[in-house]
Amino acid sequence: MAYFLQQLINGITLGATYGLIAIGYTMVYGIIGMINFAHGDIYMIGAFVSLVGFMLLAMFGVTSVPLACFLVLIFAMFFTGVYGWTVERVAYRPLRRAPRLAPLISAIGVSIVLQNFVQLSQGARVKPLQPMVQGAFNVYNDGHFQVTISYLQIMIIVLTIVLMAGFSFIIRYTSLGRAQRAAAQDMKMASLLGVDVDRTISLTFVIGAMLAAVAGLMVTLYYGVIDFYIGFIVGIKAFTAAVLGGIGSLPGAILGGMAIGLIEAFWSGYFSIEYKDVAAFSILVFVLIFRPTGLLGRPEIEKV
Amino acid sequence: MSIVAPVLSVEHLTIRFGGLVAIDDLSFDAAPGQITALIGPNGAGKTTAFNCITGFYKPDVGRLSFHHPDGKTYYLERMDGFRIARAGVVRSFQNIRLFPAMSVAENLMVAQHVALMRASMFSIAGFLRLPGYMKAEREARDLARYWLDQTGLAQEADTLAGSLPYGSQRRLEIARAMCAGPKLLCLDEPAAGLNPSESHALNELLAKIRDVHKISVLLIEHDMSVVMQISDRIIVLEQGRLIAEGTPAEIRANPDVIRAYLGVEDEDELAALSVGVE
Amino acid sequence: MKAAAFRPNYAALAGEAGVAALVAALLAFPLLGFRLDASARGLALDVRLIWVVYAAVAVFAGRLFFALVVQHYGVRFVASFSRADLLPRYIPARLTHYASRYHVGAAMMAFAIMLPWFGFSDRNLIDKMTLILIYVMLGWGLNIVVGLAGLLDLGYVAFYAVGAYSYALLSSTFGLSFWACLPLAGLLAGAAGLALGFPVLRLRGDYLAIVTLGFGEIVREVIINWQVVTGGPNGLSGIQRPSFFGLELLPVASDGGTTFADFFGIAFSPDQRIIFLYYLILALALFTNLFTLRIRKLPIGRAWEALREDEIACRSLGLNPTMIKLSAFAIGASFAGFAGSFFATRQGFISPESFTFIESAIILSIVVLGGMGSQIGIVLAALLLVGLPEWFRDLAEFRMVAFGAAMVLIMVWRPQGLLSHRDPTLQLGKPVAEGKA
Repeated sequence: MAYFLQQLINGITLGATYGLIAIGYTMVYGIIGMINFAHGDIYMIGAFVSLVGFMLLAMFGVTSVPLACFLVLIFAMFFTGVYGWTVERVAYRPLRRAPRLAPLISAIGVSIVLQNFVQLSQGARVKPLQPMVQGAFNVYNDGHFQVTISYLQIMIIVLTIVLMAGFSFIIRYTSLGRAQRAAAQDMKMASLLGVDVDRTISLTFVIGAMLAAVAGLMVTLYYGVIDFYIGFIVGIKAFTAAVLGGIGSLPGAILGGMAIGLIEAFWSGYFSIEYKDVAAFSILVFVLIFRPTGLLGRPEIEKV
Repeated sequence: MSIVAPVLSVEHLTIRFGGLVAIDDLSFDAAPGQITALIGPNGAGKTTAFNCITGFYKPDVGRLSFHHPDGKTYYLERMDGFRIARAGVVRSFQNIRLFPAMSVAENLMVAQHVALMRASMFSIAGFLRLPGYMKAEREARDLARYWLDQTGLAQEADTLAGSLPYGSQRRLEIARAMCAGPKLLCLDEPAAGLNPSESHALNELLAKIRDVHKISVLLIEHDMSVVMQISDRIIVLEQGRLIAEGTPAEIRANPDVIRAYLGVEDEDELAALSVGVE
Repeated sequence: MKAAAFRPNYAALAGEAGVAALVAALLAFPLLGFRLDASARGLALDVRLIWVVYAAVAVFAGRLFFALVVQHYGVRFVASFSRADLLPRYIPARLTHYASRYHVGAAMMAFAIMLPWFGFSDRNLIDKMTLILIYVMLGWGLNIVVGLAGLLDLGYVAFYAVGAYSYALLSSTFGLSFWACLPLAGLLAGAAGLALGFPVLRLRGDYLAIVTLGFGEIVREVIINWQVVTGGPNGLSGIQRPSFFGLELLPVASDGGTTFADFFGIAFSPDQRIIFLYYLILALALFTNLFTLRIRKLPIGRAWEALREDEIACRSLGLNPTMIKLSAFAIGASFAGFAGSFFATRQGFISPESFTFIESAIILSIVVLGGMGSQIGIVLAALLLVGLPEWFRDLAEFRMVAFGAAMVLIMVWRPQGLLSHRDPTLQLGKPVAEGKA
């Protein structure tokens, strides 16, 4: 029972990070119908920028952990946002009217560039970080196993909830959110009504990148080690989460992220570490076969 | 009551989208060797009915029976769209759906895919250029040429379908549907966007399809000059329900129809309008 | 028509370049300006802010230069590279007749056949061309799935792997020769295509892409983990090399065999196997090409293209989309299987590292860059994407960044691919005056 609880906690934490990245995928797909293949690598950039941020603060003698986390959060979100904006401007915007495969190839190219850029500029070796946020609550003990929930895990979950809430508020109640929703439903009409579609799309990418940066920061703290390749696998899992939850649906992205995180945690906990990535892909295949619109997605009626 | 079995029998067709009832208990027959028109104001459910008949939507309630001239009966409400087409019910589309990067001739050859595939024996006969397959392909080309002549597209045989002018594209869609060997041809607004002389040519083509080739036609149309001149029978829908059916003369005089289209109740205005419609 | 000559607005251009330089500086600051150095003592931060300046200056200069070029030659001239067929701009009109495509293709084929006999051809060159030909064949194979049928397959490498491992296992377990294993490996890959395709082919474009990508990864992970059969991360070695119809291409014959050199009465040279492998892949690739050219004219080939154009219209004409997609998927997979067999026998050793997603991405890029459906375009794209990096192996580090950047640039510049012309599969011709069809 205790072991189960621990896997549950681990899974939710993991799921939170997947969910944050999944939001980026789902928003971009919702508005321009494109899978941003390079989004996983934006997350990786976020992780690296976070690490640089921590090191910088250490150099300047900032020792308070909460303050450092807050500052690095801003730092990472800003710079990763610039990366997200640039990628859209350079590699996707010119291809908005191009045949469907062109943006995908361009995105793959961007992914290769980002991975290798980081590999070149930072070296191919993994980067370890001393654990910064330590300590945990003892939650439950059934005699065999001590269930703990660490401060870090709490921070991750709380931060995700706060961001989700803030974000949903923005989407639902502000003019930016309205513009976003309008453009996602009918881009031409939205632009005829005065919505600056280019700016809305740029903002979508920037926000997605910022959320991915948060996920990158959290993963840096959580696992304590990063390398330039983490974007690929996590990207696929996060996309799986977005599809699972129903592509285009924000709560769906978080829900899907949770599902994938839990599946992964329980699979590794109870079966084996070995095929855990296969588990995620297999889930994706099953979901798409039996419920292509995902858990919270709207079924698309074919217009004949 | 006709003695001959109808080619298409729609019985109690009902379909809902969420809370909206798109078609409500619709029943009608289409007689063989005739042109039956489905008309009605926008939103009446005409294309929805079409989509049910041709397998793109699955109705919630209803039976759709297609009686093939060779005697077999098909229940369309259970069949996949492509099987319905193989059974002999071929359709065209409101927004033209050609294969734009392929030539006109290629479009017509694709329409004969089923027969050619059979003749090519999973392409093996095709690869080996066996005489059986080569003959089938020659016949397919001849049929394509025939329909190109009939629709006046003979000069455009090797032009890209996507680069044809609108009127030609409409005709190509009909030619392509005919190449698929239908017994019931379903046309979704074939006259949309055509000028009067093109509409006239369309009428002649449809008449020829009915009289010479003995193919039944079911069509949706807004253009009354086409409908009134060419149809043998008209079915009128409004908001998913059948409100009238009969010959063009009967429909022209039917007050319910006029009201549905024009919202007119006054008798004198009715008379004036009836004269205008020719 | 040249743009009217007027004084370029230097201030505006400088402003644009300035903004670009600022963005470049922001991008460079965290990741170029600092370097994380992991050492035994832990993590340290190396400050190299000068790189930020370099990046900003380079981008400023580049942007300004590009803007000036556009101003001088006129926007339409620069944009015209993106439109129309690339070649006709530089070749006189007479030569751009339809038949010229055949001439180019025939010339390329002649060159390829004669390649080992040219004065400048050394072992290295033939080896590189062999590698390029593998990718050409893979590109032609994927072209059936993506270019003809319009199915977005991001996991093509999975079938390549199935072919390679099937060949390795068949030849070592059953001792069959290359020529016996080749069709079997292709068949197995085709069967994998059917198995993988069946559940997922009714998915919409982008979803299909991700699922096929997932399948590619699943296959790779299975290979890595199923050590007992596939040798795991260490791979399989000692794969049987091909023989020239029973004549071994070795210096000394194994018991009971005759060597190629002995049979033909010439001295043994290791080049002989290289040349033999080259002709082998050339033959396989040409087979793929001829197959594609022929099948396009058959009903199934036209059905693939029609499906790509408009699936709904296909259904309305009686075509069964699932069967048609499955056939494209399975046949495309078989060709990957053949290529995989060749790869296994050429290397003598295979491991999961050769079958990563990046390979699928490269093959897909070759197809898209080449211009979907264009056979010659795919050859050009393979030369570009596989050949050039090989020649630039010395600059190994920057190779991949340049590769990715090239992908983005080519797509932005010519999204339809290098050669985007489609040859029609039949010509009915205009009716003759007499009225005879």
